[in-house]
Amino acid sequence: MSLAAGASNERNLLWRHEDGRIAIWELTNGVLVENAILETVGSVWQLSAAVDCTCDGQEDVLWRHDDGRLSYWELIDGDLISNG
Amino acid sequence: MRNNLWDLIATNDYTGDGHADVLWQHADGKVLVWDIRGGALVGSSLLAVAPDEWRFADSNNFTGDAQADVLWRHDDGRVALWEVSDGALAASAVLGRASASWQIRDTNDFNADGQADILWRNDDGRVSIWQINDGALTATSLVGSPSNAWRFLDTIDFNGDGSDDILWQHNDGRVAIWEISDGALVGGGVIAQARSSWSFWETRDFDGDGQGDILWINTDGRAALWKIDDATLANSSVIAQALGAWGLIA
Repeated sequence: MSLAAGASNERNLLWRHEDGRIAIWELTNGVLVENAILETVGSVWQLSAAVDCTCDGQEDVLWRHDDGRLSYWELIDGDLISNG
Repeated sequence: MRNNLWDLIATNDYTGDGHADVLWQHADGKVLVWDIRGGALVGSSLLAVAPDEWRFADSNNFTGDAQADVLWRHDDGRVALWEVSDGALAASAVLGRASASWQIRDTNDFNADGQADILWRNDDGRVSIWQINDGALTATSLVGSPSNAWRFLDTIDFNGDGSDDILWQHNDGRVAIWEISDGALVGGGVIAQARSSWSFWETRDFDGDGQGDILWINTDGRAALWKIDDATLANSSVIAQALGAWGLIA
């Protein structure tokens, strides 16, 4: 899976480093236009789903903790806007 | 869900509000829809309890109401559909039965009617499509019989005809597209060969031309995109390389 990023020719890829850092690649027409480190996430959290919960055409990210808890990241234009 | 008895089984729009919702299943069979808006849970509704021996197969829109439904498979081979409307179970019916040697590989629209159909693969390699319309099985077809050296990868519309097509990869790295129309194989073939250091990641329309493209990941951290045009490889390019201990997660 990759993340819908608004326009039909924009998608985001998320990478995870062994040390927990999460990086985003923003693609337009399949070409890398920007990349950034978003946040560090502990290994007890697994990416669970990409879902557009705000209806902005940009998919957000649901994380699941090993203990069952959920966390939500709202992504707008490749930036992490809120997490909780 | 503050315990591990709940599995997140799908995300889709089950309430018809245009927002994606989250579908959960409890170990006891209960299936729950969470209506999420703006990152907040605004509603939670129990759809029904899936009886023992029925397993979640997929979730897609099989009825044309722009709301996703839920497909189940019984251990005895039966396939059942829960039609979901406005976050509630509107109808439940058995669509048909296929022996245990047949496995559901994907659901997608193989006849361009805007409603999902079911793609099957048999242990012996055969490929079949069940066309679903308004929540009922309307046609079944044998699409082909590729050897088991060909592995199913994904389905997406590679030629822009509104009907989803099938992507395969051979053990030797060759990649093939089957163009599907009206539930039947109408064209396609091998488009290229991928070296063994490249793994398939996904098909998506990356350039917005209405035709799916193919994303590959290399063991060395490179990501590459094959742009597909009219079911043939139009362009292949490396996007970039992630150096170090990075793994793609989405």
